[in-house]
Amino acid sequence: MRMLTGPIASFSKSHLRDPKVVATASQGLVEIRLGGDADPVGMLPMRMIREQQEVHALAQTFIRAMVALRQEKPSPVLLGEVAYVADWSRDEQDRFLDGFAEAMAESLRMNDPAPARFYVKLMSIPDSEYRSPQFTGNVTGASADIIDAKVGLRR
Amino acid sequence: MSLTATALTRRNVHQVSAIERTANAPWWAQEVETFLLVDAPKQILSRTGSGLLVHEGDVLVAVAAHRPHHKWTAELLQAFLVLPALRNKGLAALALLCALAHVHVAAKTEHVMWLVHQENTAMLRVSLSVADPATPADADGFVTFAKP
Ligand SMILES: CC(C)(COP(=O)(O)OP(=O)(O)OC[C@H]1O[C@@H](n2cnc3c(N)ncnc32)[C@H](O)[C@@H]1OP(=O)(O)O)[C@@H](O)C(=O)NCCC(=O)NCCS
Ligand SMILES: CC(C)(COP(=O)(O)OP(=O)(O)OC[C@H]1O[C@@H](n2cnc3c(N)ncnc32)[C@H](O)[C@@H]1OP(=O)(O)O)[C@@H](O)C(=O)NCCC(=O)NCCS
Repeated sequence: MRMLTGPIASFSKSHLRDPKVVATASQGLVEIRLGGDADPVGMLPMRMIREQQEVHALAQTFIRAMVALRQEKPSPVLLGEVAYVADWSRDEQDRFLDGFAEAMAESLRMNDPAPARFYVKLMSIPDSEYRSPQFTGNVTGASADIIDAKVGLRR
Repeated sequence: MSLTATALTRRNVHQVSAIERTANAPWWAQEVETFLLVDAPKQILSRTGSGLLVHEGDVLVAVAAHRPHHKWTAELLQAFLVLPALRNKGLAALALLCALAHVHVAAKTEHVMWLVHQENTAMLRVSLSVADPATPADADGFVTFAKP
């Protein structure tokens, strides 16, 4: 699990030599009790820290995009990574923010940058053009009549 | 073996980013992959299209996209793929049936159609094992299947 909600185990300082401590910490946050009044310290996989940092960076991008897109002429500098939306229509920008908000919420909930990262990357790719009728169902000639007869009922 | 289909949503659509493209795939297979990796997720994110994931337990097995056909009262299964790492294990027919069952329910329709390029031997075999072709290949080389 990726969530940073609380420690998955707790050890006292005297157990630090025990290989189990590091083994457990590579699965998630481990609390090390220092004794007395001292605040416990945590041990966790670097991966979780990197993920957390990336989630933070994406959240910043989101907030900056929200601010930038409220302006008449959105600043590409403020938009940063999502500068590609600067010349989209107002409606497209609104929908972009809407989707970004949802992906961002999921990333924050899971402490996983993947949903927001995927969103930002995907939206930057222009729409593709296809040669095949597979995606529209545009069948030609006799086939259309046969399907008419079999499936029937045109809209 | 027990496969389950779940609708693609804004919350799970990033799972398709883990899918690798097939090296050396013919153009019709490349188009299907581009569609499922780029365009279909964009449609999900902008709520203009529908899709599904087929899992076996936690393992993602197949992905598909669908939408109402513009002409017939049928849902069009626009694209379907089995994850490259799981190909050639005889999973495709089961995964396709699972996807079709999901589409029937999700789209509230009796008919689901899909088109397969006549040179796509693998998908033709898979399709023939779950349905009869509705038409011979059209001018672009696509055979139409409909279920039921
Ligand atoms: C289509 C055709 C021309 C492709 O030529 P080919 O190079 O011999 O095709 P292969 O089947 O070996 O496939 C080429 C690659 O695409 C892959 N591939 C084939 N079908 C695929 C599919 N449905 N999805 C993804 N990849 C596929 C193969 O695995 C292969 O990859 P590899 O080179 O890494 O092994 C060939 O399959 C063929 O001659 N088919 C019959 C043609 C025919 O009936 N024509 C009638 C016209 S009316
Ligand atoms: C087409 C596809 C779904 C097949 O999935 P798969 O898991 O490899 O298929 P299976 O292992 O169940 O094999 C199905 C049949 O195709 C045959 N087959 C598999 N790969 C093949 C290939 N490259 N060339 C020719 N036949 C092939 C198998 O031998 C089997 O035949 P059988 O049922 O007569 O035994 C998969 O290759 C794919 O996702 N391709 C890329 C996208 C695509 O082409 N989608 C279809 C668009 S309509």
